[in-house]
Amino acid sequence: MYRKMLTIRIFEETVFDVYRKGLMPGLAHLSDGQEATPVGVCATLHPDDTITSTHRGHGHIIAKGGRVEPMMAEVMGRVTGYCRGKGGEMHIADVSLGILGANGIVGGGIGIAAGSAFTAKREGKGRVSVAFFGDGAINQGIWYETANIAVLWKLPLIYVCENNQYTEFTHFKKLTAGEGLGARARAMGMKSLEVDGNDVLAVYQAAHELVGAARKGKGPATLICNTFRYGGHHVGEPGTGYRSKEEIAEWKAKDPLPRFENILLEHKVISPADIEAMHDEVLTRVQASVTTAQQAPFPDVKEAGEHVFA
Amino acid sequence: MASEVVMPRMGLTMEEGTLVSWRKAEGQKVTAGEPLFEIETDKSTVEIEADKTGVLGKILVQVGTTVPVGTVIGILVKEGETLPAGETPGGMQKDARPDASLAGITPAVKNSPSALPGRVKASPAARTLAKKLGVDLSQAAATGPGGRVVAWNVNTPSSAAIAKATPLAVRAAADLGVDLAAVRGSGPGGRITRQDVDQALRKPAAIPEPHAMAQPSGTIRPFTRIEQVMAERMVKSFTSAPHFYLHVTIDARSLVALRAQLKPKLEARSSVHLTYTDLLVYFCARALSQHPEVMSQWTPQGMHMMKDVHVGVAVDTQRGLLVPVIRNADRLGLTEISRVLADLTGRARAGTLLPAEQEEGVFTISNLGAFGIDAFDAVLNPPQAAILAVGRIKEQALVDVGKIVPAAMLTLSLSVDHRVLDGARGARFLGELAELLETPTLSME
Amino acid sequence: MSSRELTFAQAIREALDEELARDERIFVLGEDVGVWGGVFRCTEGLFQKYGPERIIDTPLSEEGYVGLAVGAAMTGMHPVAELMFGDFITLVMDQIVNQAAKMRYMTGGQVEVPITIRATMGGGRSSGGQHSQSWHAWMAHVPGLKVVVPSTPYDAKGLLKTALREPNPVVFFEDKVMYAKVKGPVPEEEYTIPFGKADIKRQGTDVSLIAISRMIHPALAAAEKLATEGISAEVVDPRTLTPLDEETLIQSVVKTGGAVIIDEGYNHFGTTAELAATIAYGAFDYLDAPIERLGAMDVPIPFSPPLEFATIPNEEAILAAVHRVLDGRRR
Repeated sequence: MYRKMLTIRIFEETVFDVYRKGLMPGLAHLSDGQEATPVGVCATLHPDDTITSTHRGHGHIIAKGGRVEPMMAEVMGRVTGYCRGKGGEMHIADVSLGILGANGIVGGGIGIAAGSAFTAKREGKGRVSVAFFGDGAINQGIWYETANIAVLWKLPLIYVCENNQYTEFTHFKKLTAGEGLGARARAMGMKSLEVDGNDVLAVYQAAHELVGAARKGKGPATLICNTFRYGGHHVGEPGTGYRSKEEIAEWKAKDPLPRFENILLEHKVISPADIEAMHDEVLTRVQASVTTAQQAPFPDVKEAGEHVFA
Repeated sequence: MASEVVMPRMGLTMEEGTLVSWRKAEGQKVTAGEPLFEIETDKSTVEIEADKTGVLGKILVQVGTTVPVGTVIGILVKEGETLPAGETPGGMQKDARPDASLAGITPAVKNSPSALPGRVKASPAARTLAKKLGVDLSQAAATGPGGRVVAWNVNTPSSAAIAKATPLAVRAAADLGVDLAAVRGSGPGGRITRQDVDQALRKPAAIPEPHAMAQPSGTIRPFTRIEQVMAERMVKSFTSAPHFYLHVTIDARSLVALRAQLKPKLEARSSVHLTYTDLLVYFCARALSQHPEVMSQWTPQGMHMMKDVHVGVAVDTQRGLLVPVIRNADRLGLTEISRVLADLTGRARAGTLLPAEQEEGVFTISNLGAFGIDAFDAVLNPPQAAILAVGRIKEQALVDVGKIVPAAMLTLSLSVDHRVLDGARGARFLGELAELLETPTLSME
Repeated sequence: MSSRELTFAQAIREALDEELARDERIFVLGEDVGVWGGVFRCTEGLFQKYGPERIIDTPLSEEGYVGLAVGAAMTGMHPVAELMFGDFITLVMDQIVNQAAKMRYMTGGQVEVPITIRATMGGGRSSGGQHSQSWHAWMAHVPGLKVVVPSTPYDAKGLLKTALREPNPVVFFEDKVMYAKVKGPVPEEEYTIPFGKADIKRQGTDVSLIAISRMIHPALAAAEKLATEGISAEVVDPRTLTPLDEETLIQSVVKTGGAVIIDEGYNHFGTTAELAATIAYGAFDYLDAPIERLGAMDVPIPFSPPLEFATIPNEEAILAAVHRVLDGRRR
């Protein structure tokens, strides 16, 4: 789990670097600071469980097993990317790993996740479907429509809300009426848990409970993980125009990586040298993925007309 | 106050009902709640009660009629009241269809602007066709809306429409950017040739001043249908098919003798009056079946090969020139040909020839010998590729084995479409025909 | 080959029945499709035959259940989502346009999205502006969707069966008036009709009438009427908008020189515009008159019958358009 979190952190930092050096087209939406949530949740999932992700999806994808090489290539628009350069950093998918895509529409993955849960229920093999979304999506209609259906039809669907406090540039409390997502989920007839999203073990424990219940056919549930993104909404936007220095510092003090490091060290699961070695290894790997991607070709223009239809 | 009795809607899907019976007669008293009439819907037969008390003033729809729901079928009046005069009040017309449907485009620009100077309004189809046929669009009639030249105008152009230009000249003009309208034609009939186009390039075309036309005396009368068609066809023929002419003067003594011999026989046996034209038809038909390429017709898509020997004969009538067709002349005996031609000619003159009897000819014979004409060149009868012009049989001096003798001679002129036949092929046919006529042998039928 | 007559709705129902039996990945979902049998009777008896797992009554949540259908399609099922009124496509636009239509492309070919969305179309029932619209042009404008507009029971059954075997998103439009009112021969034997193949419903030489869905019927009626005037009209039914059988449309107008396009969708920027452009380009040299576009009038569809009928193309409008096309031209 730690390795995964580390990978996410380093990946996001590297993408930022890639962006600043002008090596990638478009924008990137980075999730450094939020690593614990996806890693904690995905640790409870099997390879055939599915997840859908958001526009800020690198963390979810790496947590579910996505490899950095085709991810970086996709970010940089190369044909060797996961989606052959057709999706881009906001739409990466690896269907073989159960990653049904990051989605550019807020809440766009929720309908798809519901469908995957429907199929899982039909298959009857105890598979679950996880929909990752942010505090913005809790006010999107699709959440309520699918939640209603999921509860009625007892679908094995876990709604995981990564609440990083800000819906783009506005604090979520200013945009959300009533008592928030937890209360709404319960009103729909769903169980809802709320945890410190930067505590990977807490996330893991809560997810384990809800996913386990879903596997047994108990129906959908909601998990709210409170976390924080260090970067802005997208690269190039510093994230300081609407958030105070104090707030940022406060959350950095709760950084999920050192917190987990400490627990591991305390329980002597790994040593400082291991950590350092792991850090170097991941860094090398991620940086190598940039070089590899740089050397890879862009998709041929002919491909523009391909993959529209099966 | 009069009130309407309507065909009621008895169900959401009911659209119409049939009147099965009236329970009251006109003039009879009606009490509210009493059965007034009976209707049949697609589901069942239902009795309908009167909703008012009064008198059944008028029955508008008879028993057995099917009407849409809402139709007024009768008028109820108060006792002592008279019927309202005039039309019955309208009920709710379910399928009221207004006169004009608004569906569809009403573009701001109804028609493209009228022709700008130097530009011709013509449909794409007209332009394509004009290019193919070498027609000058600016001269074509324009019967399409807004003064648009349409395909038909190009296909059957009026006499003014065709730029009198050879296809070569048309192409040259297009290539060299010469305006055909400004070129003087030096070819036959004022036709513009390739040379004329080249000339025009060298010196600026001096368009002759149109001299002031004196007011023409005499009256102008509209064309008859035959004149119109003849004019159209002749212009089209003369300017699209490159004509060339072959002449042969034959020794007609054997032909004359043959006719003299056969005429009384055929008259006695079959009551037919044998003419030289009959003989010409007979021999032409045989020659054509030996030279079927003479029957071919040029089309833009390719050479149209014809195989049925339908021979047309030009007939002068009061209303003008008609060309009835003797079908499958190669399979007819001389007697039959004579009979058929006599019948066709008679009806042509009487004006009772059917259009079908003038169609599908592959070859035409025009005989002006009766008018004392020695020889002439005929215009091809489109879409045919050959036409035989026959003059009179005239006693002339003939050199026969070194000696000059008087002999009956006949001049034949064959006009040929050079797109279909070259000189040699035309000559072979005419040569064969000449031989047949000089040494006629009949297969008696 | 035996043939009996089915209504449009019966033909749809039969296609669903046969495909449900053939492929267990197929399931139907929508409002009142199950127990009630569908408001237009298209799923009558199917719930009783296939059960609640395969014929599913959904809550009134178009975006929710169509979104769910997209996800199910991406994970191996073939859902048939019904939109009771095609007007409600506005509620599911994100799921159809941004999700279903794009998933295969944006994942570089990693998924297939075999979803069939059945939506109704057409006015003429005094249902008002929000229940009478025909949105096939909107859907055809989206890359990644296939759009089907059948006009007869025979075509409907054959095309729906093809849709249910198609591994891509299909939006299948069914005209409401035709459900009960149009009857036609449907063979009992198994058959399908491929997408992208137009059908010449009546051969002719003087003008091409190209009509979509229900409009085929006034077009055929107009052709009959024109025949008595000595005018030979060809009636062409595209049957699918994407993929479009451009060649048949173009060849028809090359032959006749003039075209009238009839559609119940709004005229402005609609199906008539696209087909007219296709014909203008492909048959350019053979056009002898401007192409006539008869779409619905560009106003919200009115309620009152005389108004409503005035805004929808009908036989008279077609006849008037044909006369404009033939004005000044001889055949």
